[in-house]
Amino acid sequence: MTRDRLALPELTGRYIDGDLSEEQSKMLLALIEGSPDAKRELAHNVLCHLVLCRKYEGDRNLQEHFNEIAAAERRREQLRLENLEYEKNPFAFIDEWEARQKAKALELTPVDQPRASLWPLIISVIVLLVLLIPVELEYYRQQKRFRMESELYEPPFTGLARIKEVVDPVWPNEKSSHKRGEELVPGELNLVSGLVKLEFGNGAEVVLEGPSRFLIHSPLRTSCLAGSASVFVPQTASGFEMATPWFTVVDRGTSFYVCSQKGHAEAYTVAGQVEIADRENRASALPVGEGVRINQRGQKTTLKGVSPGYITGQLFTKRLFDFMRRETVKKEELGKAWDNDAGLLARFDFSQEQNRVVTNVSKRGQAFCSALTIENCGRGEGSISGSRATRFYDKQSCAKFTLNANCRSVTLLADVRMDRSDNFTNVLLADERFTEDAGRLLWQVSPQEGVILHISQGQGKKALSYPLSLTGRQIPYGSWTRLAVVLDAEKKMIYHYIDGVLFGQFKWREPAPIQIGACMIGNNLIDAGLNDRFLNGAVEQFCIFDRPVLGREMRNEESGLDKQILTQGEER
Amino acid sequence: MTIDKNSSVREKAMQLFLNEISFVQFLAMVHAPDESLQEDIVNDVFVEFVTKAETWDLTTPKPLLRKIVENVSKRYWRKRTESMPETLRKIAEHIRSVTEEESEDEKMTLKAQTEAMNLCLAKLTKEQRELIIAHYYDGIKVPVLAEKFKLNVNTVYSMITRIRAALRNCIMAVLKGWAQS
Repeated sequence: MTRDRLALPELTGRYIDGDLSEEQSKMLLALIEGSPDAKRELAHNVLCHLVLCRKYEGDRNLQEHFNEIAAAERRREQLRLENLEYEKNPFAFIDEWEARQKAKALELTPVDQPRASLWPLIISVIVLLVLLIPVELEYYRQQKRFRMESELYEPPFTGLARIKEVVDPVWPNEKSSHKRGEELVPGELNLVSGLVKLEFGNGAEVVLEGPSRFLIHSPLRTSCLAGSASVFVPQTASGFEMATPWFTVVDRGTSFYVCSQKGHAEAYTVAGQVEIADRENRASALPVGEGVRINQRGQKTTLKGVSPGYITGQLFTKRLFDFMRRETVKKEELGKAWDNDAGLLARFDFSQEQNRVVTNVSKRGQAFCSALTIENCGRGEGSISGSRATRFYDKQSCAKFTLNANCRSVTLLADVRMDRSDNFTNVLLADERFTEDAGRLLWQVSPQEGVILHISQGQGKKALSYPLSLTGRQIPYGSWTRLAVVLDAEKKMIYHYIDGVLFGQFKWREPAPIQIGACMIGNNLIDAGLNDRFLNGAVEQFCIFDRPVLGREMRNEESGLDKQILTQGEER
Repeated sequence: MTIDKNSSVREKAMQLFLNEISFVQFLAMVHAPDESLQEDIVNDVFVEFVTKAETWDLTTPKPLLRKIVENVSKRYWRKRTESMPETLRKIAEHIRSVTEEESEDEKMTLKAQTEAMNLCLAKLTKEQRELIIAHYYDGIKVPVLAEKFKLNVNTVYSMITRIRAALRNCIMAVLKGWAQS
């Protein structure tokens, strides 16, 4: 028994790491059943392990935050150079982009590619003039790539400060409340709870977490009287100050964290250089990875590490998307609204135990969607997001259905999670006869390339491709995203949405009725043996409408039910 | 500061939940001590708490949240342990019973534990800290660590367990100190 008791630490470690053999697990069980102390030791160790996991997950987020900053700088520089290149020669720029796409070997058919010789170039110029120049020149003239519904791509802000983003904010009262995008004047900002991201004209960003009392004095001087603030200061705002009742933090570039509480305040340097000046104006540098607590008596305590309250960019984005998803994408209610939408052709609800299919037989006589068959897919695991959605993960997994519909306008919408971070092309929807008849679809997404919609032109012609944007946009992997693409035949436009926010639009070059026939979600079995394009991830729901769905409907701000009134005698 | 009286009940419930999220996370950890379940449990508790907000008395949310967490966690825990081998299931149940017994303090939150953990990690020796960082931050598995430090695998398991035990004692001492001050 003594020898077994000595083995307890090793057995505990193996249990926590999932490395226990059967014999070892019996030994451990006997130990803890025979000794309450041993049982408690094991339980305490497990709890400690969980707290460590949480803490270091937070630290990894912090590291990724630094990597994000560097990557964002590189992207900004890349965009600036592309801007210059485009202005020199718009046509050559587009040609080069399309050549790059071809070199990446898109799924079935290459992108339309202008050729190098003179006559095709002239034809390309005419085509491009008609299709792309109005959109692109407008962007480069106005410093915008696309006309956006969302504030995310607004022109750079040059005022004092504004509310850039909010997550679950609660204000003390109506008078003190602020809205997203609102410009601020010098004064006080009171937040009861939630997160608010402030953007200053000099580029500094402050994330306040309520309860918080924050003062803005000038572009470079602020005060955090209560609550916490996570601050990012670019070089353009070096010298940005944040005062607390007991000291002032002066940033010399890049990130710090301040927390003011009753009786004391703390500051931590996350990155770059920060100085702390106490009430006697004695300044001292605060190294990276260190913090200081100063109380009302001026007593200093050195702290190590970074406070877990620091909100990294990635954490803010995660909480923002979680908030948007919880608040604005009310799945059950939205689903019910869409189930009654006369424009709905089919909605596949993969989150139910019995994968639910809702179809709509409208008065236009669209044919019924035949049974959804799910092949080689599993239920989703809970570790990433808690979803119970259907999981696709290899060449054999797919969800097949047949929908006989001819539509002028189409909206495809999917709640998707991708489980690979590399540039793997995930197939969301593929028409089985994509390369043959006219107007068929192939919809793909990858974390780094973004979203691409291909429309077959039939009759042996190459498919037309409509990517999310010229330089692509990263779609987060490992978390749920609502992706949608809208083909609007009336406006002859194709729109890409991410979580109900418009992120790209293209002229629909040859709007023709789209035929939706025998399709697959999650796979493309054209070259079954060679296919390396499938969905590695999960789907919670997939909807097909025969009308353009608006961004605000995707965000559940306006239910489609209001617009679509079912007439008497309509079948479901 | 007063909460806007005009907030809908649901918004109030959301705000209350977010105020107590650290408490909920800790309870989720205690009642279903499997790291992969914690986030799911918190999400489900949130949905249940908010969607039925009109039926609750929101003046004292903590006991209510505790009850919801217990119910949701038990559901998840039951499912998770269903497919476990018998021996492991019994071990897991023992752990859960101990953690439940010791989680009555309503001031205990994940945030408090993490802050205390930060202080305690600073008190480890340099070698101990390196081992913990390698295992938890860099995600290096024990057999690889054993090779790296030229130790027996069993020894490394024991070392990490002992470090965790020391951290646990330190955390409880820190939390007790904070409670008293």
